[in-house]
Amino acid sequence: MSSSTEPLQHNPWRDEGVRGPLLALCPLLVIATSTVNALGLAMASTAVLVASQICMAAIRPFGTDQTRLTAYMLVVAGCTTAVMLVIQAFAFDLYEEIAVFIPLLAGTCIALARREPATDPQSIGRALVGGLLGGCGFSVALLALGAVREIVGHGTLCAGMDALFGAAVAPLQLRFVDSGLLLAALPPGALFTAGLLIAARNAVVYRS
Amino acid sequence: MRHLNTILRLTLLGMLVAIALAGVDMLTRSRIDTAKQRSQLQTLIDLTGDRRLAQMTGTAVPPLAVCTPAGMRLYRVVEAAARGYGGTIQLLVGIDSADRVTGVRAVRHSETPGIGDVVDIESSDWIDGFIGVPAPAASDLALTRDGGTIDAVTGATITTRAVVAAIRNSLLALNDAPSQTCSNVIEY
Repeated sequence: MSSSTEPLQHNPWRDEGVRGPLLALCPLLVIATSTVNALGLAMASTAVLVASQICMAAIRPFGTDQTRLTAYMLVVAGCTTAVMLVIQAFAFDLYEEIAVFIPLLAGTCIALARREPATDPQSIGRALVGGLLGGCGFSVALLALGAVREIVGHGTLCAGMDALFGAAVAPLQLRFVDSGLLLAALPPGALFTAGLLIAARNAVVYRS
Repeated sequence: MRHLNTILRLTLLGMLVAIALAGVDMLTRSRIDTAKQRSQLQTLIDLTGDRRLAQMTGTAVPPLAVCTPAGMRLYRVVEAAARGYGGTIQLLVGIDSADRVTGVRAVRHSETPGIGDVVDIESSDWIDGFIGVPAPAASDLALTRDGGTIDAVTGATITTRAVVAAIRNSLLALNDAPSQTCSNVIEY
């Protein structure tokens, strides 16, 4: 495992930055059946990561080593609930679709914190960068998964984006074929797709 | 003593998180209620095909009866529950003043994607086959393979048969209780 105590030296492609979160993301893989769901989850997880990192940096002077992980769990749970309320208020249609899975973000972030210095950021600025980078790793993995599953499973790309950004973006939808391979849209399809994506990434990284 | 310190710090943090969450809740509550109401009204509009229901005031949670200010009943929306292949399928049925079905929607189901989810309007318009069914003749409601008029779907016999039975039962219950009181009023 590469040393990741310095978030600024993170290369989300080469080191564990993508693969680690991808495994931590397992509970979220299931719902990433389309680009819009994946994008919603990616934005939510980035928001939770950034907010929880900033909170942890802010309360750092008052924490002790014994309280840090418990405090992080508390903060992550709070941030996840807040993000859930915000999604509900501003993208209700998307919320209906992914509601059951948003609380799982808390587990994902805590799993991530075990290998990232997330529970102990040095300053608010660094916490922001660290959270954003971690969130980008999530987002890349989730979006790749959602896009592949939507193309293979439904034959479309970016369908239903209006649930997230309003009716103006509805024409962005691409339709390749009328029906897709059902397996890709089912939960096992998430694991197959994730495995293939990791294999593809490894093939590229280890060849160069 | 050290433990007391830890407990105090975590309690304080817990209180801070609770206060912050109460703040977020206060800021988002009215917006969430509006969004929820709009989504429920959209379901009612889909069920009845009548856009005027968007102006409806009061609860949008079925079962309900929408009336004119004079008390003439326009629509009734009732719930039905079917035991599908993957669990309970929760349905809403809209009925107009002539006692004909105006629409059926599965609001919650866990049928197999690609097979049993024909009941979901997102996947198939099979459920629109109930439109126009007269409630007084509900006892004749059946799949074509059972001698009725609703299309049977290959591979989804359990699901579709359960949905047909659930709708038949809710319509029969409705026939037994025709004088449902008005729960909502819209200007006609």
